[in-house]
Formats: sequence, C-alpha cells, structure tokens
Amino acid sequence: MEQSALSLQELRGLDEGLSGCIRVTTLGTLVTILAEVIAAMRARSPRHTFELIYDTRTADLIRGEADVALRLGTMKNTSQPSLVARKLVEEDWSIFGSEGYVLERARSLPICGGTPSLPITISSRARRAVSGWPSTRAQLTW
Amino acid sequence: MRINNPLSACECAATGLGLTAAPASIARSLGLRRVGPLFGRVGIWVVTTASVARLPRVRAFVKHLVSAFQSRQEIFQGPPLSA
Repeated sequence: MEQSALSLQELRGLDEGLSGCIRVTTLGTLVTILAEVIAAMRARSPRHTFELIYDTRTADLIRGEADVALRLGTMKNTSQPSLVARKLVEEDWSIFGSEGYVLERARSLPICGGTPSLPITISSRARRAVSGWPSTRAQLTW
Repeated sequence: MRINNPLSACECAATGLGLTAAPASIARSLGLRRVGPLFGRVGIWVVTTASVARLPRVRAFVKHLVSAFQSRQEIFQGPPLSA
C-alpha cells in the first residue's frame, strides 16, 4: 500500500513536471515563431500554460525572472556557468520596413539619393530609426 | 512619430510604420522589404538554467522549439533577399 502511495506521488510529481506554466522571455520579433510552438504544445497538452515576457531587456534567468529565454547573439564564455544554451539557428538580421513606408522614405528622405527605387543604401539615419536595437555585434553578447 | 521601444517585425508589418530589425525569414513571411544590413549572421539561442532545463515541460518545450526552427530551415537558408 505504502509502495502504491509512493508511486502515485511520483506519478503526480511527473505530471506536475509535464504541466504548469513556462515563463518565456523573447524579442518581439521572435514572437511569431514562438506562437506556433505554443499552439502546437497546447494542442497536444492543453494543461501547458505560458507567460510571455516580450522585452528587449535581457531577463535574469538566475534570479528567476523567466524560465526560458530566446536570445540573439553570442554567449560569453565567462557567463554564468549555471546557464545552458542551445543554438536554434543562425540567420542574417537586417533592417526592414513595410513596402509603403520604405518607398515613402525613399521619396522624402535622402537615404537613397531621393529616388524611390530600391536598393536603398543604409545610412546612419536609418540605423537611428531602429533605435533601441543594439547597433553592433559586440552588443549582442550576453 | 516617435516610438520609444523598437518595433517588432509584427508591429512594423501591422502598422506599416517605422523600421525594424529582423531575421530575413520572419520579415519575408510578413511581407517586409529589406532596407539594409544590420548585424550580419547571428545565432538565435534558447537559454535556461540547468535546474529548469531538467523539468519535463521545459524539455518538451525546447524539443518543440528545435523542431519549429528546423522546419523553417529551408526559409532560413533561402536565397538572400533583393536589396
């Protein structure tokens, strides 16, 4: 009987480990992929719940500000040893805008010599327009 | 218009305003146009603590994440966008 009670407790523990909330912090831009993953997980197990923390600030995982982070860049070798990281993909990050916005800027601002045709040569003006983003690769180390 | 926080690619596509920094696959799927380079190729990582990584729900989540990114691999490795 005692043995069965223990097994039940163990099973309950495993069940609690499989269900429950996962707090995920990410850049807003990666929310589109994250939404697909969350939908797939919840379709299989509706007991999974998620708290999305969508911020450009790097959350402190050691202090428990989030359970999981999706991050961009490179992990410092000297970073906290209790962190574990897995690279999901490597991709070219560029500056983008909607078609209409880019053509309007191309006409009104001298970022491509005043012509509406693309390609537009990136300028410091366009870089400032994505203010809040790190501007160098060195700033992408965490 | 001045926005204090950087626009995400979704917000940029939804509002049609401003510029955003994004990986090509996401921007392409949202119909955004490339304006210029930013960081070059950089990694996207899933990070957690060793203790949290042991939780079955987190392991399942990471497995789904890896699979989602792998299934987009074709898009990620696609030809460079024009402009």
